[in-house]
Order: sequence, then C-alpha cells, then structure tokens
Amino acid sequence: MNSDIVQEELLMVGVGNLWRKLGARLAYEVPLYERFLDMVAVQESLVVAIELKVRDWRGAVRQAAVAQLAADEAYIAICSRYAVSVDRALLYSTGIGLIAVYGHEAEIVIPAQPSKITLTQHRDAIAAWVKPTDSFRRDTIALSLVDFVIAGNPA
Amino acid sequence: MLFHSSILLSLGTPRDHDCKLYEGGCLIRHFLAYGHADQTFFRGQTNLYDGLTIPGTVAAFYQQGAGGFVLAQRKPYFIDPRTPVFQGKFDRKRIRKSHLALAEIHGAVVQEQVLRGPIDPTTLTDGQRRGMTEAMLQFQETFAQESTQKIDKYLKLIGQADAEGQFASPVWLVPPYFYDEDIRGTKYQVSLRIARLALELVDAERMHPVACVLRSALSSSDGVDNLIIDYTPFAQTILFPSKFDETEASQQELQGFWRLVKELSQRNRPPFMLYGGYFSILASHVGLEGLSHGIGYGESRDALSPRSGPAPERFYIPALHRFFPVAEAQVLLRQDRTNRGIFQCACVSCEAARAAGRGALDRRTRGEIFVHFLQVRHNEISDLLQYPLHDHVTGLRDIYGYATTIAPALADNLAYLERWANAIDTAEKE
Repeated sequence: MNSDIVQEELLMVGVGNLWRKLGARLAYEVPLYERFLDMVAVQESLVVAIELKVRDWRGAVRQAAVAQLAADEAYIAICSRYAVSVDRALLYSTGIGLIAVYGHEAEIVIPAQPSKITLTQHRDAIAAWVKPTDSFRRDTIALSLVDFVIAGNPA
Repeated sequence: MLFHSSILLSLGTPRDHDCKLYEGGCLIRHFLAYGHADQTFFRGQTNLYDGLTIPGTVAAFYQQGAGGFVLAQRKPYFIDPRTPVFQGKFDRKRIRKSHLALAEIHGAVVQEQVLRGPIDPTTLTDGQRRGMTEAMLQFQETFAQESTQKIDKYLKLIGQADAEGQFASPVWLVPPYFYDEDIRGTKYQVSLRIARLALELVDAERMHPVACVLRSALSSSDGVDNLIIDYTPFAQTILFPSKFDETEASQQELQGFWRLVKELSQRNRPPFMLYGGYFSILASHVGLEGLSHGIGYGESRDALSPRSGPAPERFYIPALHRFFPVAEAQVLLRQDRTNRGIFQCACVSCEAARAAGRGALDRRTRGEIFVHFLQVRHNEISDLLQYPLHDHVTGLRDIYGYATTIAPALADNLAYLERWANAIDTAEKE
C-alpha cells in the first residue's frame, strides 16, 4: 500500500477530531463530477470541504479549487511537517484555507474565505448527503477504516 | 481531388503570412477520425469538417458499415493502417476481432505473426515487407468498390435515392508504417524503406507515408533534420509523433514540430498531422496542410496502444483551446463569470442547452458537448485565417495571464498556453 495513502487516512483522524469539536457532521469520499471530495464537514448550515494530502499541497489546492463549486468554504489539510512549505499567497488569492495536522490533532492555520463559485444545487445536495443519522454511520465506518489502518500499520 | 482547390494552388509558393482567407476554401484541411458508434452525429455536422480519417481497425472490421457510411457522405477520406498496434505488448489471448481484421488486411505475414506476440519489423524480410505493403495498398485501392453492400441504406438516410456515378477512392493511399522511439533506429529505417517501396507500387502523388516516432525525437535538432531529409522525397508526409499531447509537450518538442512543418513546407511538401489540436491549427501559418482528430478525443495517441472507445467526459473551453475534465472546466467557467466572461460559450449548442435548463456542464448531453466542440473547432479555423500569427501568439499570452489570475489554483494546468507562445516565438526567430 502506498505510504502516502495510509498517511492520508491518518490525517482523517486529526481533521475529523477538529471538526467534531466544532459540532460538525462529517462525510468522506463525497462524489462530485468525475471525482470525490476527501471530507465534508457540515456545521449547522455551513458546508466545508477538506482535501487531505500528506505533502502534495499543490495537488490539494487544485482539488480544493474544484471543491469550492460544492462548498461554502474549502480547506487543504497537510501534515504539519510540510504545512510550512505551502504557498500562503496562493491560498489568500484562492480563498482556500489551511489546516495543519499533528498526529490526532489539527488546527486551522489560515481560515478559508467564502467560496465565490459555489453552485447552490451541488451544495444543497451535499448538505442533504450528510444527514445526521447517515453521517454518524459514515463517520463510524470511516473511523473503523482508520483504526484498521492504524492497527495494521503500527509504524 | 474534389476539394480545396485553393490549397493546391497555394502549394507552389511559400505560405502567405498575412493569412488571407482564400475564396472557396480554407488553408487547413480539417479531418475527423470516424467512429462507428457516432454515425448519427457525423451525419448531422457535415459542414463542420472537410474529410474523414478511417482507422484501419474500423475500415477492416466494419467495412460495409463504415464504407457505406463514408462513401455516402461523398467527403474525402483516407485509411490509417495503424500498423504500430501490432508492435505493442498486449495480451494476445484477448485480442479484439477488429485487430484480427486489421492484421488480415496487412496480409498473410502479419496475420500469422499477430497471435504470437509483438511484431518486430526488423525481422521481416524484403519479400514480407513487400507483401504487406501490397496487401494494405490493395485494400485501400479497392475499398470504394468493395464497401457498397449497404450503400443504399446510407444514401437513403441522407435523402439520396440511388447511388449515382462512382464512389471516390481514398484521397490518398497510406502504406503500412512502424513506430520507433529513435529517428535513426532500425524500426524507423524499416518504416522508411516500406514508404520508398510503396512509391514503386502506386502513383507518387497519391502515396502519403506516415512518420511515426516518439514525441521526444522532436526535441532533437538532428532528429528533426533527419525527418526533413528522409521525408522530403514524398508528396506529403502524415506526421504521427507518438504521445504528442500538445498541452503536455515541452517547449523544445513544440519548437521541433514547428520547424519540421515549416521546413517540409518550404520544400513544397506541406505535411498533415494525424492527431492534432489547436497548436497544430496554428502551425498552418507555417504550412501544415491539414490535421485530424476525433470528436472529443484523439488529439494525441500512443502509437503502440490498442485502446479505442468512446470519448471521455470533457468540455472544450474555446478561449483556452483545450479540453478540461468537467470539474475543472466548471471551476474556470464559474471564476470567469464573475470576471470578464470570456470563457462563456455562445455557440448554438451551448445556447440551446442553457435554454433547456441544462447550462451546468454535468447536465449536458454527449451530443451537445460534441456539437459544441465541433462548432468551436470550426470557428478556431475560421478565426485563424483572419489574423496574423503574431496576434494569435499575443492572444495566447493574454489568456494565460487572465486564466491564471482568476484560477491560480489551476495554473499548472494552464502553463501550456505560455509554452505554445514561447515555442512559436522562438521557432519563428530561428
């Protein structure tokens, strides 16, 4: 298994904890066009998309730009070790926020700006996808997967 | 030849860089690769293309269907032998019937060898090379006569009662060809020898060989020089740089392609691009005589790949001159809407989709996306002829600056615009 993929699964834990503390419901691998959003957090009526990458922040920014079509805000979440190399000016110009992940913890380093390209029908569809009951189930499944990955890859 | 008499008249002199639109024709022939599944679509858009390229697999496997359809259109056409497919390392136990049919029209030697594994052209004897060349040319020469079993059906579909007169043979004949990474490689030499052999078999003006090398060969000055020297003896060369995706190609490769076109053209041998996009269209300014591509795909190809099939879901943004995955296209269109609005398309197909409540790209039908692309491509060719090259290069730089400003996150995907502009400027100064 690609170690970066494993690490991305681990990033889910820290980012999930962050948004759960903020009272958000979570969903993973949410379909959008021909791709998937890594994680979506719905906090009351606010839809937030988060793209997870261990170090490839450029790839994450490209994906977050697409996520802005379906979310009110979009973030990239990067392993803290690599978060320092992210081009902050690019984030400010795109309105994409930055989350740094430290093990099981994460913090918002640069808050996202409201997306200017949100398509209401996509946003509403995602909000509906992350229903409270379903989200609990999806969250649980995703966390089980993360637990499995952690257990299977102690390093 | 049935069309573009103005092109033929212009061949004797270096291309006019003012790019005036010649009355009754245009300066670049625009061919579409025929796909058997898209017959309805082709039939409805005959004014948007000049001719048809029939892949050898389709010509061989669907001879009556493809032949009947193409002949009924009465458009110029030619058959691409696609010989390099047999050099590829694909599972022979799962070989497609269309590839077996393609092997059959290459003659007995290829037919025998195809099931054993990849064909190494350097192992073919002179006699075997002659045999396959004769078989392929014979198939093309007799294609019109041998493909009329279903002609009445196709004529009826386009409102013609009966077959009147003769149906045209392919506009030119293409001998078998092989792929080589290296311009001085042994497989390249075999391919060149087959082309020379074909000159002995058919009228030289009608014989158009394919030069098929890896795209990186274009970045070598010596490589380009060799191609020019080797292919100048032929009336027209069909260029097939394998994996030459214009949006991915390096500046050196683009410059090499530009110089190849320009110098062949200056020797009154204007070439034809087998898989090309907008950069190839721009190269008509230095003499590219024509290009071919599929509808929504086929602007580049891996010569060894046996792959075929329907076009992927992508949208062509006119101002950016390329296809984007739907998600990225939607980002660019949305960002542009709050800015200058120059990515928005007003073609008939897009207007109709919006009027029907299907403005969002993911709600467009496949047909709408195809028609949009063909209308835009037609306009690109028309616009090309109305402005000097310098204006197009300036336009590429302007649009690159604008696009990266409104969508900085996608800047890497837009860098080709600057590479195209730099390659043309540099090549024109050489």
